[in-house]
Amino acid sequence: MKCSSVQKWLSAYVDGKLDFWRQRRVGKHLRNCDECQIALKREQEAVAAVQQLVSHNPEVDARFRARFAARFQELRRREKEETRPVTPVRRWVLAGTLAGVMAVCAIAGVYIVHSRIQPVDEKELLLNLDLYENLDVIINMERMKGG
Amino acid sequence: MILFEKYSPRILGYLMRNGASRVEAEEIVQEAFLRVWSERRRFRPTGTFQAWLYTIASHILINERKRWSREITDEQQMLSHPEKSDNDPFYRVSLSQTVGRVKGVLEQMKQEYRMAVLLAAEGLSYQEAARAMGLSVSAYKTVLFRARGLLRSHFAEAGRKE
Ligand SMILES: [Zn+2]
Repeated sequence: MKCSSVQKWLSAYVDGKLDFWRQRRVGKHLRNCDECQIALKREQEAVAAVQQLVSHNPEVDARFRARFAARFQELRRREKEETRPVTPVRRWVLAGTLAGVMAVCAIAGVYIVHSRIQPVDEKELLLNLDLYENLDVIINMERMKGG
Repeated sequence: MILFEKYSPRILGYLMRNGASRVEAEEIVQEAFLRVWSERRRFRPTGTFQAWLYTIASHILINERKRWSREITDEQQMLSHPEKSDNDPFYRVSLSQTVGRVKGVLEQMKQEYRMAVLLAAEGLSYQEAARAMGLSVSAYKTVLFRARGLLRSHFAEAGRKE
């Protein structure tokens, strides 16, 4: 294996993403080549430094949380508005539509099971995001604590 | 832990490392979480929630950044931190010389290279990172390996100058 090839695969080697045989060949070359050894050391140092860099993140403040909470509540409010109440006149139309939708769902269900796509488990997501309904309470409590 | 609490600092940091200002990054984070909510039925448990969130945030950053920058009002600019990511205080906090050096090298890189390196460092698999950038896995690998090659040579070079 040539040095240029080894250095081309160096990142994948460090990430452990090469196939077994290539990983072995690169490893073997590295043990016998000083130049590629130096490149490997640099790669490892650079990766470690990037890793450290991404571990530094900004703090999220109350102002930012409050703005998000407001926007999220606005979105929820609009969603709720979009689900209109059912009138007696629309009931038959709705029943027909529902039957159609159920037929489509049954076909889609068969397709989903067939294509082995997992059904969506949104429980955790809903639970977590729903907590934002109470966020204004939390923020107010924080404000009171802060004076 | 609430998803927003858990992930927003990381996504905020990720966006700023990709060249967004604090104000832009905050807007994108909020928009990303609102889209998460709106598109919650499309979430597939086959991928991780984290990867999905990075995908949405990256998509907004790549495709809609210009529009976002325009929409950020002067009022928001004044209310928020006016600094660019360069002099945001969170970066000044005890960045070691080595980390400062790698940050400098990344900032010199073109956006595609920088994003490829950062997504891998955030813990996304090659497949997840490729999806986040809208690339095929092989195209992502090409970009990542080139970027990392550049990174290690410039990183070493910058080290010699110090
Ligand atoms: Zn060699």
